Amino acid sequence: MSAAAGREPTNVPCRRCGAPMRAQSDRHLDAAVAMVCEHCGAAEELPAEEARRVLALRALRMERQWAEDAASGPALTYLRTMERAGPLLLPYAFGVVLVAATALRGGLTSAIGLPLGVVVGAGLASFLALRVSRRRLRAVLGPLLRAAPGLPGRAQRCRRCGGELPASAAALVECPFCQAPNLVSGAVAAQLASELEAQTRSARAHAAAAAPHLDAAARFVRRAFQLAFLAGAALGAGAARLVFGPLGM
Amino acid sequence: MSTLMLPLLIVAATVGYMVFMKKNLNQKYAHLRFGEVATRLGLQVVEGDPDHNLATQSMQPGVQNLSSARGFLTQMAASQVGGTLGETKLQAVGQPYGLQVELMLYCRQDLDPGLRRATTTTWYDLRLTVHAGRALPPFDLRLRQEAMGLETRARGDGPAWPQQSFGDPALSQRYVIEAADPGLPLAIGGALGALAQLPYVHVTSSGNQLSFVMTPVAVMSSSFSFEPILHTLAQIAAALEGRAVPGALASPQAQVR
Repeated sequence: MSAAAGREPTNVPCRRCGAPMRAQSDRHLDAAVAMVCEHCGAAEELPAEEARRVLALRALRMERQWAEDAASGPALTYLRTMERAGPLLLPYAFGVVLVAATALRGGLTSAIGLPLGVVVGAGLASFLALRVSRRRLRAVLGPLLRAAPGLPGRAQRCRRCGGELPASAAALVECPFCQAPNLVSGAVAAQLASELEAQTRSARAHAAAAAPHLDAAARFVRRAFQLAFLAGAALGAGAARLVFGPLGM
Repeated sequence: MSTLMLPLLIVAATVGYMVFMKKNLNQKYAHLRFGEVATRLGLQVVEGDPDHNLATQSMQPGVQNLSSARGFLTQMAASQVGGTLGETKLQAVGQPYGLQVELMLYCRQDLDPGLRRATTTTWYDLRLTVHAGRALPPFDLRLRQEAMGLETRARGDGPAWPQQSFGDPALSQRYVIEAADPGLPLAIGGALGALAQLPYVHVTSSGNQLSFVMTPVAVMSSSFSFEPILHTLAQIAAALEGRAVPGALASPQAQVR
């Protein structure tokens, strides 16, 4: 067998009728690779060596996916959360509604001055903290987001019809022309595995480097909101005293 | 009428707000309902509520009681006369990677009101376990610096094993491993990559069981990563048994060091 032939994919024809067989699932959790003939329905399992090739590439793709999620996921989630002011400020809006409802019922008396001042003050200060935190997070976490590199793949030709196969990191690639699945050769599988492992290592290194920045950003946001709540509530109470003082507060 | 109306409106709005927030959170983390998690792990639920959300609902009955009227009454009754606060049991089993795997999440709490102070006793068995084909060498793996609130539970009885070295500064800096066999860390070190970003890690081996053991608090943070955790357990089991490691193209003999 020539070196080039050793890199060619193979078809998985049905032993009974010769039609292409298709993998029953694409799960990385499988222990074997079950193939079903799309023509006569016969079921077979891939031989151990070929099955290992398929399962290894499935597992490596999952590992790469988890590593990419760990690399950018936390920063992205944090940024998305901080972009939405509603959930953070809704409790204050609710507090204002409660105080306003009380005022509507009992009139604008001095008794509602303090709670109104505290809720409005804390709410406004929290809004300010949100704006400051958002700007800080965009500056710190924005650069940590990285676009995942494309999956590695090799342009190959279908062993059934000769059509060009799409570049893919999967072990079984379906021909877009004749729909026959092609099993990647051992040599190409090893190359793909090596590239997937390199991408996984890179993503894990990125995640490890990003972790301290995420921790620091989280600490900043927590302190900003704590400080805003206390300062806003105190200032709001003081302002209420000034406004409602003449009413006998 | 109007005297009652405002307090009722306030109570209704408060309850409505809490229900809305809970619903919102449950929707956001719907993929972490027990049934969904079990399916993704290739397991079948054999006991417990498949809708129990591992990210938003505590495993501790004492905490869980506060989110329902019935639970609140149970909590009130137990705080007066003592007794159980409840029991949470979720179990799923299956054969992902061709291995016998069990996800067991059990927690029970009793409350003794006492004369001077109340005492809550918690029993729990929270673990994702892979049953290997043969007995594995015993070991205990934890993070060297555990996060606050996510501390592992100390191993109770049984012999104490010496700390071993991974022979890799990065791994030794992150993990503490206790094992009788000094060569064990080297054999499993390559399988720990998927655990690299987890805030809680506790892997133990006993008999033919290899488990990721959790505390009630750690279930919430770990539930996000059960898939890579199971993958890691399968890789460790395979490495220790000399089988083909999931994700490896080489023959099993080539992987055994």
